[in-house]
Amino acid sequence: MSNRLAAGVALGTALLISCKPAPDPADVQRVLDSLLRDHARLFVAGQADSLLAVYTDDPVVYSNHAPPVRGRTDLRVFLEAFTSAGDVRSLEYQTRELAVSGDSAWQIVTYRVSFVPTGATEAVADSGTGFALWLRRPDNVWLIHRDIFNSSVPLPVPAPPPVRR
Amino acid sequence: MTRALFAGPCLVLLAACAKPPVDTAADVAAINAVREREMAAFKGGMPDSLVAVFAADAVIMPPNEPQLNGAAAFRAWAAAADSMFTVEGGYTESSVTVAGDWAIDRYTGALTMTPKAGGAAMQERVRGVHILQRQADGRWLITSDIWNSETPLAPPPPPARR
Repeated sequence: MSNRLAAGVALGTALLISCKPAPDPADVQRVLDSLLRDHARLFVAGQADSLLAVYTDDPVVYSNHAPPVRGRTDLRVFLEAFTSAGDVRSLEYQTRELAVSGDSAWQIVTYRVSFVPTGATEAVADSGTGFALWLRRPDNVWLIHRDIFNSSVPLPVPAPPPVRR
Repeated sequence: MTRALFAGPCLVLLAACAKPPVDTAADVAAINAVREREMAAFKGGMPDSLVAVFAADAVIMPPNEPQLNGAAAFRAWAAAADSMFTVEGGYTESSVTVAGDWAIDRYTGALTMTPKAGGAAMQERVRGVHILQRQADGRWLITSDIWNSETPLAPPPPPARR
């Protein structure tokens, strides 16, 4: 094979590789659902370190009534606090909407969680919704880049102020 | 000639892979206008104008409340909010990403909500995401909205003094 021919084949191959077909949303949903099952399993297991692997290098997570959690160092602290705040008995996610555009995807999920807060004896149930922006790395791995979630359960009504006698 | 043999297929491949340049400036401007109309309607207590910037089957996910499905549920929610609070403030930052007929609008806002029945005003720093979809007529409408508060929860009241 001449050098020119080799160069041509290499260039053509490179072009074909760079000309990626649009991802099938159904395929992406299968992948993301599987990743969310892993996320839930790691959460229940309290494995904050492993949970970090599901996020990009510069994630931002918005939890209700808290400052934004920016970057992996702060996210590790956040996840450790979250997973150690009680005994998570179960956690399930369900995809409600998903759209894929190139190497990014956004997803709306609902969640249901049951956990026993530290110091308590009975499990507490919570459910809510979340939005995740996923990015696909060149090696085809999808990672959470932005995440905002909130509970659909009303806050407890504060007790009336004490009556001073 | 050999060069032409290589260049031909390469140009065909390049043409097939090349994406046409997309000018999203007009889309971003339209989406910014949607966001401003939404806030003006919310603050002005105009639920009909508010739901007009949302798709009929929009999903709204307020914090600590059940998910609202559809314009009618959202309209009732907005009317109830307007009956309870006077709202001041607005969006403070936004970042719009357009991808074809979808767009993601990440926002922050600072709101002061004063109970109409009296009582102290509440300061809320919010952040959230609008998902918008381009309609057949070219308009952008919000199809999903999720937000929560950066403001910490108020501490529980101190125990009663005896």
